[in-house]
Amino acid sequence: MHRNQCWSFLVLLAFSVSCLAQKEDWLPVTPQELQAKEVPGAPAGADAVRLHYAVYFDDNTLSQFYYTRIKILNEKGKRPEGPADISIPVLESPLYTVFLTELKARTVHPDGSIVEFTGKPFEKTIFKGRGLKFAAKAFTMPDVTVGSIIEYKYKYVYQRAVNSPFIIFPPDEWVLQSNLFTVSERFNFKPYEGGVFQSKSRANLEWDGAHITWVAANLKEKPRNNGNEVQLEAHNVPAFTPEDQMPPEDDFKPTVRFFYSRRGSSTVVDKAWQEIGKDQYDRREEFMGRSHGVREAALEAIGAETDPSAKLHKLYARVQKIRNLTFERARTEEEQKKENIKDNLGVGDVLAHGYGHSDGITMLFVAMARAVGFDASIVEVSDRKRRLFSKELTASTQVDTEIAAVSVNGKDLFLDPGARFCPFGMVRWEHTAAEGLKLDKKGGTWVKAEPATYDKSVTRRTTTGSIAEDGTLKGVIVVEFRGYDALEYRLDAIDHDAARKKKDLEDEMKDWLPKGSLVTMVTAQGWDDGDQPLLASFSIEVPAFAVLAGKRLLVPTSLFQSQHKDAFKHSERKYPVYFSYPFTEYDSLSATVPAGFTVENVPPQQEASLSYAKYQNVSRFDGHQLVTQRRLAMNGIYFPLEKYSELKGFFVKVQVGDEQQAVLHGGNVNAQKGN
Amino acid sequence: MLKKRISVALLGVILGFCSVAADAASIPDWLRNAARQTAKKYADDVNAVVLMDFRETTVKDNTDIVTHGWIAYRILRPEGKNIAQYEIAYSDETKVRYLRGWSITAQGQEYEVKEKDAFERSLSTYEIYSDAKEKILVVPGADVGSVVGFEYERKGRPLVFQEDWSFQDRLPREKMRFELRLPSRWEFRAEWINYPAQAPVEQNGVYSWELTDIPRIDAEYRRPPVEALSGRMVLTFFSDKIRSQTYRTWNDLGLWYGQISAGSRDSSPALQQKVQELAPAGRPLLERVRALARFAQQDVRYAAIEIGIGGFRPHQASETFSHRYGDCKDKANVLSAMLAQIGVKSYLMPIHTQRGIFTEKSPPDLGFDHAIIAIQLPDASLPGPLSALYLHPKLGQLLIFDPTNDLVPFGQLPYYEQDSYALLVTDSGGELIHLPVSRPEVNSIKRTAKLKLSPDGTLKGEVEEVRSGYHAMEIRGRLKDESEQDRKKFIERAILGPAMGSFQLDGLTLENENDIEKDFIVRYKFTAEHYAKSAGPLLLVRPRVVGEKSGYLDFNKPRRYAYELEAPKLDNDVVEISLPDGFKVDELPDPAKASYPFGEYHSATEVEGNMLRYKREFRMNGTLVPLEKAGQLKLLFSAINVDEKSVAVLKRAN
Repeated sequence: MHRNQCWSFLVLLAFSVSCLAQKEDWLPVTPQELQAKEVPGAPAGADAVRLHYAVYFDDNTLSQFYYTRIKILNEKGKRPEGPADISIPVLESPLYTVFLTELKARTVHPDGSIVEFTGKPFEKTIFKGRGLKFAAKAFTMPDVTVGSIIEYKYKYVYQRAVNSPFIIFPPDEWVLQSNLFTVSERFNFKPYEGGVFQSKSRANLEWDGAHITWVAANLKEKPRNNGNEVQLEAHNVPAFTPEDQMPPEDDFKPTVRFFYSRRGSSTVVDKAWQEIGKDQYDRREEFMGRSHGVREAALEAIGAETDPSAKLHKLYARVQKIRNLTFERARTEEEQKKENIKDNLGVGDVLAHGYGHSDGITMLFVAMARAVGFDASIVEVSDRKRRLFSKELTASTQVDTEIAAVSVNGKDLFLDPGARFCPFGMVRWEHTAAEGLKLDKKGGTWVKAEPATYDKSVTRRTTTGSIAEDGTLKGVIVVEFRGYDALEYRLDAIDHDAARKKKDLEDEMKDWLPKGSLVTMVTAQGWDDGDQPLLASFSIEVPAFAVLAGKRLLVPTSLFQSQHKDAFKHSERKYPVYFSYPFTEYDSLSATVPAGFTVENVPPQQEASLSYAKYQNVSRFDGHQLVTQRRLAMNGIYFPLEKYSELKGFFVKVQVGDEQQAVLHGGNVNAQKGN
Repeated sequence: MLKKRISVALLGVILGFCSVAADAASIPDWLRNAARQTAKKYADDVNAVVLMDFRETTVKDNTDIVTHGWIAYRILRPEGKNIAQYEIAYSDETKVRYLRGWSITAQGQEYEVKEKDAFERSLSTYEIYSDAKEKILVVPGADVGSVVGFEYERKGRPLVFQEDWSFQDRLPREKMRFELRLPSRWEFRAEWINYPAQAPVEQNGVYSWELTDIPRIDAEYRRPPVEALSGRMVLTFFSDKIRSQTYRTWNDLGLWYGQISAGSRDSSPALQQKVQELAPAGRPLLERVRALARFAQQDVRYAAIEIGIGGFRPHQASETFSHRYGDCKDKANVLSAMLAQIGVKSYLMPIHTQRGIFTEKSPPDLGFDHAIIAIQLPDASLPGPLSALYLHPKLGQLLIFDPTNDLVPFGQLPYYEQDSYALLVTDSGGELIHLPVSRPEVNSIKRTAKLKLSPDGTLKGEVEEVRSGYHAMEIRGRLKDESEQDRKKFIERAILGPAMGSFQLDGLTLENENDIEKDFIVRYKFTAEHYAKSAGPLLLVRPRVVGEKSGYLDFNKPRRYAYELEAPKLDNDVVEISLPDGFKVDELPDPAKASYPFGEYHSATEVEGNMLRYKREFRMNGTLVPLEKAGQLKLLFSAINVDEKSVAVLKRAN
């Protein structure tokens, strides 16, 4: 406790000094810092810690100042590409130049002697071209020993090009967590205080004026305003270590994200979103208003169909046939010109051209549905694969994908016509259970497309084969994917040829089977039809599947390795458990056993059950066949830490059930021998 | 004044979509002709084929070398689209004078890009700084069926007058041509590696070689590196004008390297003082050498700054000593300078970090990427056999040492340098020497497990692993930068996880973690519920418990290349499981025995009282299992696989 207080004191001392002096001077190095051999709170064995980290942004001078002080705790801290090898990124473009200025670095030995970095950093070009250049200033700190403090500071100054009509603001985000434990951090942000923005002609880019807003996440202490500036101090920030099967990492690091809102727009979150929704609505309606030929096409698609759901399905099938450019490789302007790919100015163009991007196809679907009498809307949805939605961050970039909502029997049916191969009735998983703004004249209402239930996303693996006297299992496995599983396989393989698809599925099967298994894919069908299951059959050979033990043959009742055990190996966990979507696995195994063996023991039925998950594994011996049926169903996606123990217990039971063995007796066989 | 706001991220997106309006493509005849070639049939996993690869090298009398090249590909699969990105290296000494690319798509669209469209990128990887860079040209229209071509010209004055024509890699090649133009009174020598020598056709002073239909080097798990298998021709030029920059023999190359590194082993008072401090006179010689070696290995931080000849020439030893950092040759060089202070002679040794690229047949070639040191020791100073000793017919005992690898103890060599070839640079020249291979006993895991089985199938106890040689280096490297928590996760994931379904790690201790001179000892305790499976009155227990020894072979395909191992090794396991009261052993697994010239495996399970004891030994004798032994290797791995799954059957006593 005393040591912790001591470190806090040091930090306060440093800050008070820094407030009196220039913020950008070297901070005094205290005797405690020099002599420290370990830092309270830092993980045991850590090679280095950040004693201090400071970031000062000023959008008026377009400058960003960084200060880093690191203590090397042991030999590992001197490793190549470790904390003593410094690389500072530099960014340039034709519209602005970023100057890396005022770079200073020094090593302070435990005895207080200082070795200044007097060399010149090398500019290391990482990437250059098309008006962009990514480079790094690289240097290595001089005379680093265990116990040394290394520190460096620099400033980026952003200068816009003389003729640029834009004011360029750097990305204004504080990230408080790094791969090193940090004793103290200080952040300061001074927002733009200049004149107003005049133009209204391009709603995304030009505003009547702007004010700054910030959104913080995972912070103990919130930023505070000091006049027009925003400040934050943090202490003893642990190093960040990600975990298996966790939600998006960025959601768990302490961050502050700044963004400018249009002057005059509401500071009330709900109202601000209504204003964003209104902008989006106007633009979407304008696009859907250019609808030449849409009604005719819709009528032709539905034909004589009268059932509302069937009508929608036919409209959906019609727009899914349109070439979806979002799922093709990006093309240059020249390639578009030579391939005669033109801009679509409205849904009529999407229809006439026969191609469009996902948003255009979704809007065409909504326009066609409206044309034949449906109440249909565009929903701007967030993406939970990238980052979980934060309502306070009232920026349209958070909801940048479009899906459709159609009222059927008084309920919203959410559809994803802009996602290739997405079956009718489903929405890609990353846009489910995620906030979406259903646009209307007034702005919109918040909605959520629920993920399809566990029974809609199914992997079914059916194995039939025979076990030879040496324990080898030979046979055929037929795999059927439905729902999200099928969709993700199809989208992953969208640019793959038949050979690659075959290899990927064979590799997947090898991962499921015991090591050393031979796998050859025999057939695959359904790659291009989202409404049908994806089916593949494999010829397999699993050496030593069954094990001889004297006069007994021990036969596992499950063939496949568990796909979920790694997330539950550890007794402790820091972050929630996260599945992309609910799912079901069905496995069946029918294996003929060698002649002469009779059953001595078949495992009893294995079961596990929670309100959101079920598992069952049943084996029986049927004449000369061992028959096993297994089912695992998971109907949840997000499990907070308090559920970890329960969930781990469930998957332990699954593991135990999957490892059961049937015991056969009495064969007249040769032992399994290498040579 | 109109002011607008845009975020940097959005700006990036906008710029990304902007492209320079292109002129109409002007496809050269050579590419059009290549595109007209009848398509040949290839395996369905061939991504692209090189239709032609022509190169013209002109050596000027002023010692400039100009290389002009034409290369055309046909994209066969989506994975082949990346060949539309062409990379050409350059440096402060070598300039790219011309670079252009084209494509013709299967639909007939044509594209052209010029040098101004190229990106530039540093080729630095491990270095803090290197002047090696590359230009990257990306041609539009890269789709399956497209033919893509590039033409370039590069001019430079090399440090050494040698050209490398690599005509085999991961893509099949249909037509290749190399033309050489030399000034009068210049000579050349052509040497062929992994391919039969071909005589050139000479016409009007132009020498040319042509090859057709060169197969690709396939991907295969644990095959030797591509460069050790692929065909290439090394051309060395000779002229009075470049006497100091060329070589006919390994001895000449050694002389050249000796000259450029001469004078870099200066001393300084501080260096001398440090030598006195670390290795005072009066101590046994080997101890003094060991202390200095340890300093270069542990106290001089690895950091590389390479500009021009700096890629070959070490920095001054005094400078490296003062900075306490340097690259591989700097570290070797500062050690050499320190050894000289105590009267021990040593020699720099350029080497390649991938085994097999240099062999006893390799012609003199400067294609090394690393440097180590050979320390000349009097026989009397040696306590006994050391793995890294090389007996030189003239220089006597040489201890080979790599000060860059800080995980390998003095007296041993990193596994990737064993059984490899290195250039020994002496005062009188140089020679390519074959580096020693450690005995299997040097690289071992001795695993001892003392465990207790409960009637409900729970297995609990402690495992000790004593790791030496490359096994120790490997795990030290894996764990050294990890927190305690992450070390536990590593044991859970890499050792216990593959062996059992449900377990808890109860404790982990590491011994000699930072003392590389000693074996690395890992002890872990665990509890594994349901380890043994109940089957009625039976309890099924796998006595092997942890550790998987069999390697991976893709049994679906016939093996095409030799199988490479890190180093010879000898692993032993002894697992003792105390059986639960009320159970007796009903069946024991059969012993395993598989023995081949390159390796052997045997195991046995026995019962003594209530103790189930499993013992096994796995030995691999060399660094390479030749292709013709692949069938035997498969049998060996199969025998291990069966043994590792074997089960003892316990029965509840009535």
